[in-house]
Amino acid sequence: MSVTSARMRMQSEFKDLAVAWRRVSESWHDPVSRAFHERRIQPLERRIRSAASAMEQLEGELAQARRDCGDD
Amino acid sequence: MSSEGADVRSIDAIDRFRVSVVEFIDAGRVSISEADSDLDRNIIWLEREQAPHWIRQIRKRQELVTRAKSDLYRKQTQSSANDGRASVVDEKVALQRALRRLEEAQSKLKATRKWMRRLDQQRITFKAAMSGFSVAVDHDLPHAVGLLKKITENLESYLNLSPPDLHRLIAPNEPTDEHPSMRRTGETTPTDIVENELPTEEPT
Repeated sequence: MSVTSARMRMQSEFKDLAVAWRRVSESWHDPVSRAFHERRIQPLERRIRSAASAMEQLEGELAQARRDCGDD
Repeated sequence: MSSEGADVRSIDAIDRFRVSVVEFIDAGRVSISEADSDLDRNIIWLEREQAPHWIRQIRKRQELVTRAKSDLYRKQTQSSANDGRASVVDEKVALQRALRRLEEAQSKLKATRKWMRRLDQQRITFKAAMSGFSVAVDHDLPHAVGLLKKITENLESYLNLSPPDLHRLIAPNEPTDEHPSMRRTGETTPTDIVENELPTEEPT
């Protein structure tokens, strides 16, 4: 498995989690659910973005390394 | 404690969401591990395959250069013996090609060594860049799963303690809300119990 598939899996699973959150929000909306969203879901979104960006950069580096060092 | 009461219409929905968070934690851990493994595989490929491959290629191509030089020298010697009429163009082209292929292998070996160092450094940089997400899947989200579990347990206990539905006893035929809320404004609510346990985000 590659960094690309790892990134795609992470992003796709987060989309599923966001859908699951929207679904639970329909039947749970009180101060605790809002706190949960602010303190757990929103920070996670930022961390996913940052991880995806690091993974994309690594994908580029690995592709370049394979081109530079592979058979001519 | 909040002044606003708990408003939960489905304990099952919170439970299902908890399962989604657990699945996300597993997927997140697999993603981190896959990315780390891919980086490691590439470093190993450079160290154990490409570096020895290009060293072998340099040796082999040096031999080809030596042979091409000998061929050219032999042809030039024969040509001199035959009044300089024999052409040495093919031998010169072969030598140029052999030299070019040797330079390519030398440059590949140089690049391989450069990338070995760079990817080794990248391992540290990548780990640091992924640390926020790692903390989320290894610490924050498992803690969130615990909180969700506690919320549903508290709600279930709260429902078990609820007084009889007086409204239903007084007017049994009146339609009731299909999904009644557990909202109890002004009381201590089951979700309030865990509200203060939600820690703020740790700095990453």
